Amino acid sequence: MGTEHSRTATFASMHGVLSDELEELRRAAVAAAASCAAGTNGPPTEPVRAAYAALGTAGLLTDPDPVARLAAVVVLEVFGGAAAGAMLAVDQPGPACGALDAIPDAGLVARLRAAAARGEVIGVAVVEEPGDLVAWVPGTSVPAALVQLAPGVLTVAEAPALEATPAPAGAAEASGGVEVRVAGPRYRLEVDTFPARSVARLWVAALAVGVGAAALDYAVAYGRERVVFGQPVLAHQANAHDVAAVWARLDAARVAVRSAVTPWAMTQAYLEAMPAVLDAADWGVQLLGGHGYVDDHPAQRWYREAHLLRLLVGGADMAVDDLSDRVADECAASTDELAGWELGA
Amino acid sequence: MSAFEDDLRAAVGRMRDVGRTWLRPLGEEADRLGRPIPPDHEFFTMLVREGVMRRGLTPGGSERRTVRNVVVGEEGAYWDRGALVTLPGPGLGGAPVRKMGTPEQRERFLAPFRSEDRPRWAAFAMTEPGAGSDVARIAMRADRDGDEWVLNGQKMYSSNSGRADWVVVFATVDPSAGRNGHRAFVVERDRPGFVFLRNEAKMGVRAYETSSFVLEDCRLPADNLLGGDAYYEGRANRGFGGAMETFNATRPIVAVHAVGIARSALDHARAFVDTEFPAHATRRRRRALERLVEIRRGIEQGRRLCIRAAELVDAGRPNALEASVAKLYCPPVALAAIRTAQDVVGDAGVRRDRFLEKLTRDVKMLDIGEGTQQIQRRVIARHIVGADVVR
Repeated sequence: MGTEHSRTATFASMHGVLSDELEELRRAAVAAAASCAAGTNGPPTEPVRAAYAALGTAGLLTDPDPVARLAAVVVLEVFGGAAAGAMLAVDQPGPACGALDAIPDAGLVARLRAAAARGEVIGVAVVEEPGDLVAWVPGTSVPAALVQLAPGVLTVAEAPALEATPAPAGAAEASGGVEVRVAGPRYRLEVDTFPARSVARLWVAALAVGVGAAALDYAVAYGRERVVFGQPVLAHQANAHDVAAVWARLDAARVAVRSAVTPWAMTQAYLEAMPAVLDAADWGVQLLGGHGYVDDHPAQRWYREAHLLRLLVGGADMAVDDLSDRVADECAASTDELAGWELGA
Repeated sequence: MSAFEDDLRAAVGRMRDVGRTWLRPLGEEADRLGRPIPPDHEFFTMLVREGVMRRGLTPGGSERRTVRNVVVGEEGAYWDRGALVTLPGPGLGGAPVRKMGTPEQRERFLAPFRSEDRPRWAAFAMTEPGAGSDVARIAMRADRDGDEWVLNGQKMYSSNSGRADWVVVFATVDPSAGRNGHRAFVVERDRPGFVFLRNEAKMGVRAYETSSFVLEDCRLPADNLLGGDAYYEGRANRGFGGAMETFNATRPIVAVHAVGIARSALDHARAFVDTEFPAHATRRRRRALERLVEIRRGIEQGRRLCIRAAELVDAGRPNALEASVAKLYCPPVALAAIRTAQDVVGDAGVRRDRFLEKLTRDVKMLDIGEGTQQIQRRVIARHIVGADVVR
């Protein structure tokens, strides 16, 4: 898939404008996601697993070809809007694929990939300090492994060493959740885990952008029809200008997520996306008023999912921390010629 | 690396040299003196002597012209956005001539800019005392009289029009027709009836003049109508549409000026952190670095949005939505960057830092000119909600 897409890579596609081929993939993803029966609280895990797998983009988030990565992001966006809750358990290794790339033990990586291929969850915990760990992981059983990405230390513990107890799933009703404790031997590697953490953040951000877009699309369709004070809700300037601002911010976040290639850009994209998505999901409820608050409409689901996604992979503070560690060096390039300009072919 | 990138890198390097040597000092001087850089300043004669008028600051012909202007424009605005706008050339007047003009008009009005006798400027005039964001309300009259057009009315907030060879003036042949009555004319500044009024006293970006002028029975030959009569036949709002297309092409370039200003604030704050908070472990340094991350995110993101909008222009694809997103996004990012930089510098900013204070005044212009924030929101809302609902 990677090479196929790379032949048609365009400069524009690096900035969120999709090539015809990627647009076709996006439409296929929309059709696949729509085929999973969904109430206002989202589809169950199994149909999503099949529909997502059929698109063939799982695991491409770390593909060396940027267009393959973009294909993975685009599909994650679509499935984020349709089934973010289920996707936590469905896309494996998903958030862990950056970690897998960093592990030099080929046997361990092969075991983890095989488990992921069977649909088992590889939990990811982004924590600030190495050491004992209790982590929330999607799914309803013991995960195949837990990957811990502390600065400078990557730790992997496999199933026999893990204890899982049911835990509240919050907004991730479709996937369920377990609390996992490492109670046995673990594989430990001193390595820079920033790139792996960044991939996990990109994964979350892509889903989240899909959540925000779904919330806005739904609210806009509603606001065109629903009449208040004699005209559609969105004909009132206070609402129209608000939706424009929220939409523009989300659009900017989408461009950031689709363009991110380096760990720095992935983490920045995450930081750009999460507040934009929270605003979009919040506004998606607000415009519907009481209808947005009850489960007759999916607005409340997107609102809950946005808040859940925000807390995964360490949250914003740790992302800022990561970038601050690098800012002195990175910023030194900011006045360099064309620094930061992602010029394409 | 592609030849395009090589050219662009060289162009950015030239702009950096010009910026360091001329734009920054001249911009600060103009700010202090409260008057624009005079048109006979040695800076402009130097540019002519160096051949900049002939080859431009972003040579390379028309290939990805808008992208070039965006990338090089950021560098120029980094040094001084006000002084950047004084650079000789067709400026904002060039886009409507290229977009709406006939081949003959393009040659007639743009070719002189390739000559090396003296610096030349052109300008663009839409806003009037009674019509700003709502351009459909412009009252500048254009009446046909045989082979001539007669223009009457006032324009304001027109950049460089006090020194321009010609100004693209939007006028109406029928005020009751709203935007359908719009026509665009090239008005040479030495025509009888062109009366310069004044340079506005601006809060910031003082290095270039923003002027008002009146046209009093100003007679123009018929072929000063951009595109000729044929351009306006068939579709009622071609004139207005031409103006909007112009904005779509220029908005990414103006938006990226905010990115340049934000980068200026970032570097200023970073230099301060390096010298004032050298110890790695201090909380103050750590907090400052976190805020630099935030500024830089806005800068990187703003660039992407400007480039995306510019790429679409150069590909001949619609970009009204993307141009408005870029223009909506970038100026507030720059303003936030400056405020954040001021927070980093802290009370040192009050005591000895005029630079960031100047940037706060300069950047606000970008929230207003070339379409206000409200106009960008309206454009975006009409795209995503529908023009049938958002009027």
